[in-house]
Amino acid sequence: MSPQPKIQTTSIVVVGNFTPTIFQPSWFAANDLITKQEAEAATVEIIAPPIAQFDAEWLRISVTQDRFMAQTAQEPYYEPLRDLVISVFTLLNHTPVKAMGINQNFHYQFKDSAAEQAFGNRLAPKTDWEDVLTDPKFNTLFVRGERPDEFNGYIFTRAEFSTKIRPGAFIEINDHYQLAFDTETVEAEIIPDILGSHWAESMARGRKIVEKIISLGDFK
Amino acid sequence: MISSDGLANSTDVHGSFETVKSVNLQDFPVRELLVSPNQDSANQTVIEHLNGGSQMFETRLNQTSLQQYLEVEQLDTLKKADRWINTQFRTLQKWEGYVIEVGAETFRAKVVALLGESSDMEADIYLEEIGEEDYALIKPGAVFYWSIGYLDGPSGRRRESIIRFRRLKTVTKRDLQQAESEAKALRSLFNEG
Repeated sequence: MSPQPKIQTTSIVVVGNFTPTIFQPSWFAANDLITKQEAEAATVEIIAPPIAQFDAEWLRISVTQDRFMAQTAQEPYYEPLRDLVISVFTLLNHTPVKAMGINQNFHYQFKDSAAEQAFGNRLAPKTDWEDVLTDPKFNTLFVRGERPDEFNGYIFTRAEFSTKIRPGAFIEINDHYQLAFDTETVEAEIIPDILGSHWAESMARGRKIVEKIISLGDFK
Repeated sequence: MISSDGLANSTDVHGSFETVKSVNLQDFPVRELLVSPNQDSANQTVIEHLNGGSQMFETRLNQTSLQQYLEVEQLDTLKKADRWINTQFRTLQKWEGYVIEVGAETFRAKVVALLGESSDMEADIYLEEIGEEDYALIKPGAVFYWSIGYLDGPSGRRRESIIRFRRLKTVTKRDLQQAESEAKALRSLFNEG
């Protein structure tokens, strides 16, 4: 059996101009994006002009004036997460936005500490650094690839040792869509279009990248 | 990265970082918080809960807001961060389905595999599998997501089946109002003719 992540989360981040106080559990329930029960049981961390953040059963919403994020740590809710964000920006379709990211985070556990060291050495061979650094150790690997579709943006990958799973690796995939440049923005109606047509592709691409990275190590 | 005195250092592999002395980070594991100027717009600061599900806890606030809110509320939020990912669902099979017909105790649905090896099939699903708040959504044509797997939580592992009906806004009230007024205009044109 292939290694399974011990922790995985997926988030959709939209960069733009937002009014955080809109994004309360009651607003999501009133628009039938989450159930009333979920809204009533939600833990509101903060609702204030610069930031709104709450956790519902499967969902975390965090909104600042320039950034909207919806996230789940439970795989059964990945598609509901997508639907929720599609719905939010169908309702708020004139909101000015400039970028969107479909992000996947994974924590995998190594078989043992030796496997952890071997993985670090595989990504950043010590021998390449020993003549300029004393006892060099792998820290973080960033790899950026161009988008393979018609959009501007990039596919960004980060790998490092996990702080949650010991010994473990943390892998982040950021499937980034750059929708506008500099001070320009576009209307948020583009978000439902992209999520509706490119979600499965983005998610599959992320999984493929993760499989590639974990194939470089010895994981449980 | 954050130094052992709980304040932000000035350099790290991620680029150059700003010291934010108004933020007391003493209560947090030093590896898990990252304080940096925002990369894509000026006068903002990023507080990122590194790596433990990092982006979930990333917060961007402008400096005045940061001083006003972050010391108390946001740091409390960060403290609670782990609680949110304590429950993980390991999916064995996942389908997307739509309702064909609804009976007294079950509904018939066509399901297509999203994850796991399974061919398209029809299934009879007990209504009692569905949460009360989704009952109203069980109609022919309604889309749902069905996952079977293990739920790993603080109290151990258990097998779970989760069915969630789709809640999707593809048409806004404004769209409906606009369509209605266009229909009225057309009707009056026909009536005039």
